[in-house]
Amino acid sequence: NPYAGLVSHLRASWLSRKTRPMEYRVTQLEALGRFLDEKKQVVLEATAADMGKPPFEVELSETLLCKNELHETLNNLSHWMKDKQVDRPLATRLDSAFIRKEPYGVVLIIAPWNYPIYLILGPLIGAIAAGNCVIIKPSEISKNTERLIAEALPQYLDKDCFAVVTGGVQETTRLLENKFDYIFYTGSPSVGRIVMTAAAKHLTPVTLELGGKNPCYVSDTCNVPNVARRVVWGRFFNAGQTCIAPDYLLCSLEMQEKLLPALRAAIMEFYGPNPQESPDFGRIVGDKQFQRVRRLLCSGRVAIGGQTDEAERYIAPTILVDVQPSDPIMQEEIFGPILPIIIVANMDEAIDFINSHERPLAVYAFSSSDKVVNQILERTSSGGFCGNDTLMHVTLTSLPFGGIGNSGLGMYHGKFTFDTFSHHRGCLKRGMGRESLNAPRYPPYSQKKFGIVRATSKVTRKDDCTLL
Amino acid sequence: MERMQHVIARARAAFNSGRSRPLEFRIQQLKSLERMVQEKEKEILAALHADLHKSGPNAYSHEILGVLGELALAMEKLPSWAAPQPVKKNLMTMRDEVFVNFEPLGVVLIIGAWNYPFVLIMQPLIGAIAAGNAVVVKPSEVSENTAKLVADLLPQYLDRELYPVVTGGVPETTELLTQRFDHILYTGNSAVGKIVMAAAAKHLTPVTLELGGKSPCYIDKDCDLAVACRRITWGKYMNCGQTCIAPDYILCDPSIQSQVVENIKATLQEFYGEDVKSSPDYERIVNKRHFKRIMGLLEGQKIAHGGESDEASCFIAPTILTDVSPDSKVMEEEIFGPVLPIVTMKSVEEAIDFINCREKPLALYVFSNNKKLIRRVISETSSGGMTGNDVLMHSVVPDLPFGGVGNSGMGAYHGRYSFETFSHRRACLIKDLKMEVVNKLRYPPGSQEKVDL
Repeated sequence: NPYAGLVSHLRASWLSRKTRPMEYRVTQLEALGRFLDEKKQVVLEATAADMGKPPFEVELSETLLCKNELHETLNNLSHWMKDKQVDRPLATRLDSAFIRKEPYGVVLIIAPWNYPIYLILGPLIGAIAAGNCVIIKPSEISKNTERLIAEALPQYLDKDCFAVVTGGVQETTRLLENKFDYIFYTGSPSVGRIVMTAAAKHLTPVTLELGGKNPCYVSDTCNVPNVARRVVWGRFFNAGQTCIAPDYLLCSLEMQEKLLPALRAAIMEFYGPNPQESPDFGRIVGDKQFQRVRRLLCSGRVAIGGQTDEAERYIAPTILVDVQPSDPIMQEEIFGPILPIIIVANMDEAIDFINSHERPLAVYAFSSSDKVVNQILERTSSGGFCGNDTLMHVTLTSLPFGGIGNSGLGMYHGKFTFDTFSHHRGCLKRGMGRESLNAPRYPPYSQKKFGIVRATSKVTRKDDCTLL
Repeated sequence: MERMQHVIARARAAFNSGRSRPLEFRIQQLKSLERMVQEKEKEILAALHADLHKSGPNAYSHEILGVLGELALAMEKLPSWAAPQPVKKNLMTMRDEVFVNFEPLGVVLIIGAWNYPFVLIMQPLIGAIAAGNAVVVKPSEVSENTAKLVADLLPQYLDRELYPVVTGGVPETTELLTQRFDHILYTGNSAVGKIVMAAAAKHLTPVTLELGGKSPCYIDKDCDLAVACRRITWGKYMNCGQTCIAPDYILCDPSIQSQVVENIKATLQEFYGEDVKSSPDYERIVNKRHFKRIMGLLEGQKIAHGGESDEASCFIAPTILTDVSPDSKVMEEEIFGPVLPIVTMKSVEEAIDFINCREKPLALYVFSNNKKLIRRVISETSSGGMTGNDVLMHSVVPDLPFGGVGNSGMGAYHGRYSFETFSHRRACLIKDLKMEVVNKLRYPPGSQEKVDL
């Protein structure tokens, strides 16, 4: 077990209790803030090298989101760490009942390649805030960022409590043989199963942030140019390599005809006449992924885009029409800059289509009618939902972010991350006096004792009188 | 096996029909459950007596009372639990609707245990119904009378398609676990917990595992020993020790060990009289297998009190062991029986270290007049839950989450936590299609200006 030494080193640090005081956690978190500021240029270079990530996107989706999490956490940490007092039933009214948030111990964060900074730091901030020791496993596919994380993080964080492990499938498999107290995994459903199976051997709780095909329904009544812009933005951000990107569009034939020119206009507005030359359009992360996405272009017919350049791993922002549900592009999460349009007769058909597939990470619905948006919300199930926009629901730290069914289990962001990495321990402190009050619960039993037990164990209602 | 698949498919179809979602429906089902508990009280108590020799008052207060309380709580609070929760907005979303929707997960599975066979099915079931799910209920076959009763009664009171009961033993449960569920709540032991989680992993099914462990009980020199020992005796020997949060073993200074024994002996006399076997308030071990297992733990031990047994009736007298070695068999596994080992510790530091080099337990108990010591024990150990200066009681505070950590489990339930366990918190953001000008800030082409804003 090549990682046994590392894990036991971290476990020893954990047992030394050094990660428990708030001051320690704040110091580590502030160091992460300095990492984001001081390594900004290196991050831009690494993500550009990995997937041609436009600097503008890095700012919005990596740096800004991390900073939000950091600030939210630092602003609220002392409040989150406090014991939460709770109401007590009559029998325990004179006692102190509270929930103590405790770190789990040594936790593992496995991150993907598509938002390599945000998807490490997001969970990491919460794990540190909650008082854990952490092993970070960045993705080997975004190899420049992997190297950056492996070299830089140890310069900022306490090496005894936080470690980075690099490597591929083999290394991750060996790493998963160890016992962790929590595992946070972001990636695909198939690997999610492997992670959870490994976790089961040690009864390790997990959060799995997975993926799926996020449907985007556009109703017949809507502001077409605005819809087009929001959809284009969400689909082609990071060249489509976003777990919550709108994966496919559902609309009527009528709407498709109106949308196509608007989509074309939005693409032109954002990326210019030749997106390959735009500094604001990314590339596919690797050759394998490029081949996979390019193969999907054969579904239906290319209405917009379709150009590719293998040397650059460039795939143009593409819209496909005449796509059938049985086409290859509808069998897997696209994770690329291609948006297929599936024709549905009406909203009900769209809802049935969505519900006949695995529950996705996000559902999107565009309509000027509140009623339509609400119908889609109420009659479908997904990790999250955004009406009349794409992606934006994940930018709020007050909303939980997670999947359901095949798209994942658990949730995080903001306080939810802190809670994810904490054990909520139910505590009751009683006094040794007033033993006579306990008498009714002890054997030997009698009807009278029993009546008192009944009365004092009932759930309190607001106007109950107290015992005294 | 085919029948089982059919039953689950039917539950799924029933869930997909949407009828378990309206609050009125859920409350009506919960009301029906309440009626069931009230109308069939005699039958329920009889089943519990047959399975565990549980007396009427005992069974009522440990099983039925709790269930009625959870039902009342759920029915009262459901509208507020299920209401969409608005959350804090930021500048960009100031004009939008931002909220969390609590939605049912779908078809969930509840696997019960045999020691509190009624409440350990009912309490999760209440939460699962309240959250709007279809529920497959699998009571423990070990408590066979209660299993049979649950299988008979639930279909008489609840929607038959949405809430089927599946009975059977290991082969049936194994088969059940190959099917796809949207959440599994399992109560039982850690070994089977691993099997349940591994099966769930195949379908990416979230799990709540309510497991067990050895719940330590530290008695400080500075405490009212008579009171402490009365409370410990109550919690330890309740249900003949077959309680997941029973104080499993005692840690105390050698100088008070014999006093502890004397106090417990006196309390046992008070509770069960001279002849424990004839007390109607003392239960029995659930079956011969567990009887033999527990008796085996007594080998080589110093029996300070008790030790008598009768295999035919699965009776084991309340037993206390002294000067127990940490390496002995009785200190390896969860006892789940009326045997109380005392391991001596020279200091609270030693006790804390002892507790910390073992698996995290489901519960932890500490008795002391010294508040600082209690605070210290809490902050330097970890456990599912804990009670200071009493035992078991944290599990009856409805607003405290009940669950384990590490080997003692994952997830929590009771009260509102049951509802949340069986719900999906769906993040919702609803914007309007106007105000596009605000969005321009985020669209390419990028610029430093936009970034700075």
